Amino acid sequence: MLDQEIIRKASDHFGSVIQLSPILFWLIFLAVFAVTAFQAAIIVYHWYVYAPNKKMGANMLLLYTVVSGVLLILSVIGGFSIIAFT
Amino acid sequence: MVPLESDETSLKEVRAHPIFLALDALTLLTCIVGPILIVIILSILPVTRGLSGTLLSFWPIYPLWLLVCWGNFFVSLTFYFMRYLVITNERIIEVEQKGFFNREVSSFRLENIQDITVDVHGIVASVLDYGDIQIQTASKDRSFTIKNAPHPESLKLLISQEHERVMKRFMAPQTSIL
Repeated sequence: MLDQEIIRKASDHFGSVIQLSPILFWLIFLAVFAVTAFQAAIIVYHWYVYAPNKKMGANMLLLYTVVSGVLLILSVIGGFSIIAFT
Repeated sequence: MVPLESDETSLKEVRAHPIFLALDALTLLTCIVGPILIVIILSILPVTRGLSGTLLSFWPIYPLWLLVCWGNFFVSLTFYFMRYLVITNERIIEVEQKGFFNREVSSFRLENIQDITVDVHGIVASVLDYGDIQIQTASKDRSFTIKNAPHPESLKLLISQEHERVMKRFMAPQTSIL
């Protein structure tokens, strides 16, 4: 019973963090986006310049772009849904 | 792409055994399924039922988490495909991507090979048939090591055959003179 009470309080605390600090969440989002964009730029550059063969390079770039693009769109939707919730 | 000489043809491209790529894929899978499993387990346990609801409210971050995991997986994939060895009819070319900003391309001619050693170490390596190949060259005690190459014995055979072919070509004019 005591455990449930502690967890309920912890749950309320987490909930209030989301509600009170949407800016913090956006900052986390932006930081991760920035790092991911930098990583993406390096990956694309390497596959474009140093790919063992042109076909493999093109396929890998297509795979990376499509999957990353879908995940990026979902992430943005997720970010906006935080605004909607708060 | 590694530039080849005019009369040179690529015989084989060697990378680490695909099991290492599979391990990276398994890590990605764990990252995808892990958070879902945690929420499911927390919702099943009566003590933590309240917490699972809160964790579900973090779902908007999940695609972002997937994006980070995917990025890291693709970095591993990039390193896997960009560390390779090209065996040609003239040379062995080693391409080593040590980091994103640290790339080394070295080559040696087949006639410089002095010794080839195959090291298959451990049960997994023996079962999956992968191992290290060390090629000793004549130039200043330089040796090349191919780590975790699949089918190392057949690779050794291929390099030996090519080495012999090149050596015969080199020896042929000398014997005719003698």
